[in-house]
Formats: sequence, C-alpha cells, structure tokens
Amino acid sequence: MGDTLRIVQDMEEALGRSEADLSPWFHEDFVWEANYGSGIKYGLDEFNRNWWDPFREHFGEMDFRTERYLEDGDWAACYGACHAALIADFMGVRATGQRIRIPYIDFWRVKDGRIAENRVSVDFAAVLAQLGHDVFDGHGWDQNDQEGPAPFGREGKA
Amino acid sequence: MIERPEQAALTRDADLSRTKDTRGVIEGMVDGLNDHRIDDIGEFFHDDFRWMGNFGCGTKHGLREFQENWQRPFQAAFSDKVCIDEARLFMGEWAAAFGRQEATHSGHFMGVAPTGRRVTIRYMDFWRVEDGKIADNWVMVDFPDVLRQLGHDVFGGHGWDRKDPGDPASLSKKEKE
Repeated sequence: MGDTLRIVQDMEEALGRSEADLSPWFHEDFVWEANYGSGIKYGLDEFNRNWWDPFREHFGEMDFRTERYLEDGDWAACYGACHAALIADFMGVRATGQRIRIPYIDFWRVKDGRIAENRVSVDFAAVLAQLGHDVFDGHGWDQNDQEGPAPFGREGKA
Repeated sequence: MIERPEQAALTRDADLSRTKDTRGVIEGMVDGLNDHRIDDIGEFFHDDFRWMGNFGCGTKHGLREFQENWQRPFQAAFSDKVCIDEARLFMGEWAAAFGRQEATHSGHFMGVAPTGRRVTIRYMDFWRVEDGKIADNWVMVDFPDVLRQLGHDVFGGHGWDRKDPGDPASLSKKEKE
C-alpha cells in the first residue's frame, strides 16, 4: 500500500470515530462532488455542514463495509455500502429505525499529503427503494432482469 | 518484534503483474463502446459476467442480459453518444473509472418523451478482469441527474444538494461558474 491509500484509510478511521477536525486529511478547499441528490460541496466547511453532519443526523449505528480498495498513483478508489439505522426522516420518508444499506463508490485524489478532490456516487435512490418508494416510478431499467443475487446497489438485506 | 495491525486487507491479493493486461482490456472495451459495438462486445466480457448497477439501472446476469437490458435500451434512448473517462485507475486485476457520456436524448427515457437535448450522463465503474475479459462490473450511473436535465427532479426537492437554501452548493458546477 502506498501513501495515497494510507491517507484515505486514516481519514476513514477519523470519520468512524467522529473526529471533529478533519483538516489533517482534507485540504480546506477540497471539492466533494457527488451524484444528483447528494450535491457538490466546496471546501471542508461545506462538506461538514451539508454532508457529514446531516449524514450523522440521519444514519445511526453506521458500519461502512467497503468491499474493495484500489490505488494508482495519487488516486484511490473504493466501493461498498454503509449499513445503518435510519434515525431521522429521510427525503420525506418517516424514520422508524429501519436498517438500511447505502451503496457508494468513492474516488480520491491526494495532493501534498491531503485529499484535494473526492468524487462520489451515493445511491440514495436505493435507500428510498428499501423504504418502499421507487423514485423512478416503475421506469427503472431493471424490469427485464432476472431475479438473482444483487451484491451491490439494489435492495438487499441491511 | 512489534505487533502491527494488518493493513490493506482488501487489496492484499492484488497481483500487480496483471495490471498491464487489465489496462488493455478496459481501454479496448471503452473504445468498443464508443464505436457503438453491441453484438460483438463479448470480446471484452465473459458470457457469464456480472454487471451490478445502482437502483434504476438493474443487475445484468451475463452478456446477453447486458446487451438486451442495458446496451439496447441505452441506444434506443440516446444517440450521438461519446464516452469520456475522466480518471482511470488500474491495480492488478482491478480497474476503476469515472467520467461522462455526452449524448442526445432522442428516444423515450424513463417516461420522458424525446426532447432532442444534449445531456451529460455521469458514471462510475469498478471492473475485475479475469483471463483477458471482464468478469465483474460494479456501476453507478446518474439517471437522476439525467432526469434533472430533462426537467424532472426524482427526489421532489428533498435532495441534499439543497440543504441550505441559497447555498452555492445547490448549484451544479457549471451553473456556478
């Protein structure tokens, strides 16, 4: 393992213990750029205020189960799912402590020992599906797929 | 001797001698997609490969289901498509990329009649290559963002890009510039 992945994994441990100051791992002006519904956060303050704080308010007993890490030069990437309990109303759906899983893919670029860029996909549509709400209203491209194990991305055991 | 915790358990089985082969397969496959190949795309995928997408995209078991339930509907909904990886990573038998497809919305897409608009379809991919072909493919394609570009917010205003009203984060990068 090289320095890039070591910094990323250190940062994840800091998130896991709810470290208040994340500046040792992120540049103050880093960019967190995610898919629609999750947004784009410019800088550490905006990341905290518009992503990490709401995330912790909504999801309790978080268990990040990353299935694979990859590292290539100053980039690292991973995919997995966060398993958690829904503890606050989420996108209009009432919270009753349901167990859910939140699939993700992350890419990070490290510069001078800290994260400068974080590109993310978070599958909030899958979370809503687990809560009984299909955001695509039956138009999803899974209609003709066979039933089978869906280890990632679709509704599954939380 | 000092006992140290095990590091990088999830990458420890990476066989770095295979990185070059992996790169060749992925680069060839993306060129193949850009050349609009469907019938012979099996050059790059095992017959029983697994394509595991985010919600709304589905899970394709095998090449045929990928062709019939992903490639063909995609071709029916979008034309003049170009696929641009913005970053590619390779490590042993593994590869990952993110990027965008630029295409014209020229067919029905998730209930929206063709608009003729140019849209950007963002994606992220993870691949595992085995014996010269892709065996596993984890995918996230941002269909909610495509629908946003067509005027429909699937999250009904509840998206976390709008946590603070008036926050610049509620704008896309392009809109901000």
